[in-house]
Amino acid sequence: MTNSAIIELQNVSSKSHNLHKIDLELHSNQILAVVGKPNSGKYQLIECLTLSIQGLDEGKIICHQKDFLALSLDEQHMLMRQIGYITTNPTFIENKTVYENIELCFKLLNIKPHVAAEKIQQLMKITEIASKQDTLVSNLNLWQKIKLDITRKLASQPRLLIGIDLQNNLDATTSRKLDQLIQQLTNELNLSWVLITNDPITIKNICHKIIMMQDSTIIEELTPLELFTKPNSDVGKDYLKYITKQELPINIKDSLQRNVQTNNKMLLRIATKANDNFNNHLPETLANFELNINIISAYKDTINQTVIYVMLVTINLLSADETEFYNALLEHDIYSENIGYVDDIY
Amino acid sequence: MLTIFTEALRETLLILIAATLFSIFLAGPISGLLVIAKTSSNKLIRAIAYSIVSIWQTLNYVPFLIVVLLMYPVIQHPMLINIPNFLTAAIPLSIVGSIVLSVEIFKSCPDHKNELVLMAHRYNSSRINLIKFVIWPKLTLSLNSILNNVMLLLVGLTTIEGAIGFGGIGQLILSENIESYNPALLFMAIVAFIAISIFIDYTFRSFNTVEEKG
Repeated sequence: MTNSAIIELQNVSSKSHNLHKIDLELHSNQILAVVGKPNSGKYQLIECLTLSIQGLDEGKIICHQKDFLALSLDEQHMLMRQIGYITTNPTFIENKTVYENIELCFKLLNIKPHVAAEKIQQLMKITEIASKQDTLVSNLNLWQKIKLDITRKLASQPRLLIGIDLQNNLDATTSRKLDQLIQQLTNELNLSWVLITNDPITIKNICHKIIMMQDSTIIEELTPLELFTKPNSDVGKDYLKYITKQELPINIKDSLQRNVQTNNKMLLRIATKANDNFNNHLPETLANFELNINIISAYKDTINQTVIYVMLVTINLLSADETEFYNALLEHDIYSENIGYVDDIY
Repeated sequence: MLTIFTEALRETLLILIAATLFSIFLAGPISGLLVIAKTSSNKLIRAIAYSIVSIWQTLNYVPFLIVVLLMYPVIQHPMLINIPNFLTAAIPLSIVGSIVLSVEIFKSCPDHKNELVLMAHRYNSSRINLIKFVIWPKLTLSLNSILNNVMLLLVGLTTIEGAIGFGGIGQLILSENIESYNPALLFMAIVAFIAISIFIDYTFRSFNTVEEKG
């Protein structure tokens, strides 16, 4: 484990928590996304990361270079303070103001009122909720409640915050504001984040690492660039298919099939880091395989400040030639993913 | 007739006030313990608290009936123990009042899975701080309606108690109607009970208004 690791799960297994051989290392200033289908074990992993787990069948939870479960209760609580979690349905004291709800955390932490007062003002300034400090929590909207939740969780000076499905209930504009806030807190307060999210824009814009979960274990760990170009696991590929489907025009989306049928064409997503690869090598490879493509859409995407070029094309590719064709493209750093099959008219 | 009625009304009000105060006094420590148990991270303690509440919820009138029967000789022979009638009548009511109050407080208070309770546990906060800063403020949101419901329940039970001789308007209705049929008195008694109930309900509701601070 490197010195900057905040928390490390070493081969963690727990039957009662439905976790199987989890290995994970989280570093300072890192934003990690957890992606997986329902019941893949995401929430059990969060339970483990929040140090709320009671006992393990196997493995260790190393927190600040200490075996968490071997520590005394007081020491465990000291470490637990450094990890907080944010949900879209936070619990507040509804008949109290924003300020009073933040103050509550300082009271629970036994921090002297004059120290707390100064700190609250600082935190409210960072999360831009100071203008609402005298408003009752019951009068806040969801975005303001999330900001308030983040502010009060900062009272314990956490090293790691865990965001659970935060983007799910927010509109696109507010989600981007949240992404900005997460990034700002990461940089200004040296925080790390674990985000349970399926939002591709959040993953593209702010995440440094993604873990894919299936059957209560981590099946793949990759960078956002890898996820949007060449995911290896089925979950990664399914995720890429899922977000590509969202980008498709409605008529194509409706006709999209999982398996090949008569008069169907393959819908292929091809991506590369250099546009020249498309210009120079794609026509050449297509000619070699005697194939034609119809371009449905082509666009430039930015993933963590790296530009990629993406094309969605329909192609008459036989299953027998599929792997060979993909490998030929891969030689020129062009990554391809079969999204499904659509009617021949496209 | 008006003098008898006024005296009975005074006694009913005294019974109600005494029963409410005793109920709060008894329910305070009981619900305090139950709330601590409900927010405890220990499964066994929580299970015991939930069992107690469940039993109380089912049998809350049984202790009332037992105490009524125990107090009956005292009411019939006031010389046995020299305490005012209204206090004797208030004791069985306080038993049921404190049980209902404790159960309602228990049901309204946040449980061990509540985010704020979990936060207090994570911050290693003391039980006193947990009650003072989390449970009490949460409880104040519903305490008004709980007390309202308990007082209205006590109003109803005062009538039943009075009917078996514990005094107040309930007794007046029964004795007057058995000895001499008096519909006017009955009407006055019903109006008095409705007025008391409306007054209690209105008073608690008027305290329930939450004003926005900002």
